[in-house]
Amino acid sequence: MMPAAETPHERFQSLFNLHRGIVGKVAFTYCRSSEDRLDLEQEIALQVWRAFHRYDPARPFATWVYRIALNVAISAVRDSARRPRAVPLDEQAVGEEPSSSEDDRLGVLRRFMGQLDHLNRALLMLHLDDRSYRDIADVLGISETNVATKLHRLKQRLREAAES
Amino acid sequence: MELDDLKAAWAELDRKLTATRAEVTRLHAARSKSTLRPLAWKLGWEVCEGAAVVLLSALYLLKHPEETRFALPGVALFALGILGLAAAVWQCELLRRIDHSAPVLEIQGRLAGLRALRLRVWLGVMFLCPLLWVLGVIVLFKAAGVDVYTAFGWPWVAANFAFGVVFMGVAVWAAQALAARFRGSWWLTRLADGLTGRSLARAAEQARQAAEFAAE
Repeated sequence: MMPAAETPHERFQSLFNLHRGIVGKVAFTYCRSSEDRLDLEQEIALQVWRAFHRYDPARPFATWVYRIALNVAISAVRDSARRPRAVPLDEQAVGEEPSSSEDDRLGVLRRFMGQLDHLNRALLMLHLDDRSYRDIADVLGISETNVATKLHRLKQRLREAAES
Repeated sequence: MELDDLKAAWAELDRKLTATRAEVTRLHAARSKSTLRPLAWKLGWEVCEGAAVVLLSALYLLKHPEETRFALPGVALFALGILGLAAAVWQCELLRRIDHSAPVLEIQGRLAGLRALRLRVWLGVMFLCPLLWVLGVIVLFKAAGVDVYTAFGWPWVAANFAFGVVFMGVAVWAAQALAARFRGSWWLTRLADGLTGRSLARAAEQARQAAEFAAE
């Protein structure tokens, strides 16, 4: 017997579940409290689903999800900054309290990200996620040369922050 | 500390997020509230408002075209209605064109542009309303069969215009001078920021940042 054809919803679910980590990391990058992160993750998932009929399977799903997730996150954070619940990114811990050297690095990472504007934060997140310069350029809409230049500046800023 | 050193921390974060993902998924099922502003609903309402002003002022003009002193307020309201309707429809179109799967800088630039346009329209409405509300009074009273010019006199009409000018001047002064005192109240802060152009400046700054980020 032939297997039943996958519905768009099933196809979306299987693809989205594979890339769910992207949504979690974007939400972490832009939100402080777990409540805000949950709201943002939900909003991103909703927007990804709404846009799914426009997704071109010839293109990488991860890059497509990064674009939606970052656009929704930056818009949501800018919107919340104008509302009473405005909460900037800070050193809020994920899960248990820091206790090891790895957690110390996580603290440094959070502090450094908290100092960056929304666009540089997106750039740093994509770089830390091991995306290629080409992918980063594609997600943000800038040239690969620009990506390299801006990452170089971020490295300098991090060194200066570590020295001070 | 090097940027690449942070990749280890990022990988650790990924591990933690994966571990808490099951809990997140469970909580998601119980949540249905979106945190984003339903801008489309607001714009839909503004389209309805603009259409109602255009329709009612057109009906008024058809009924009272004979006397200039009654027709002119109707023409002014009709023109403002057309402007308001056009602004709302244009914003709807800008919103419709926003596709979150487009590159981040493109979308953030468009959103900043849409926000700046909304703030300009809001500022226009805020400044025109105290000046032009008396036109609405003239039209409404005439529609009800009352001649405002003879009932209250020309000085009353002129005094209302003058009051509108003074009111807006005082409102802008208060928004600038008392901004620090408003910080405890979210909506007063928003109102003050809107009236003094600080919100518009922020929207312009966001558009500038996006353009600057794109430049090499």
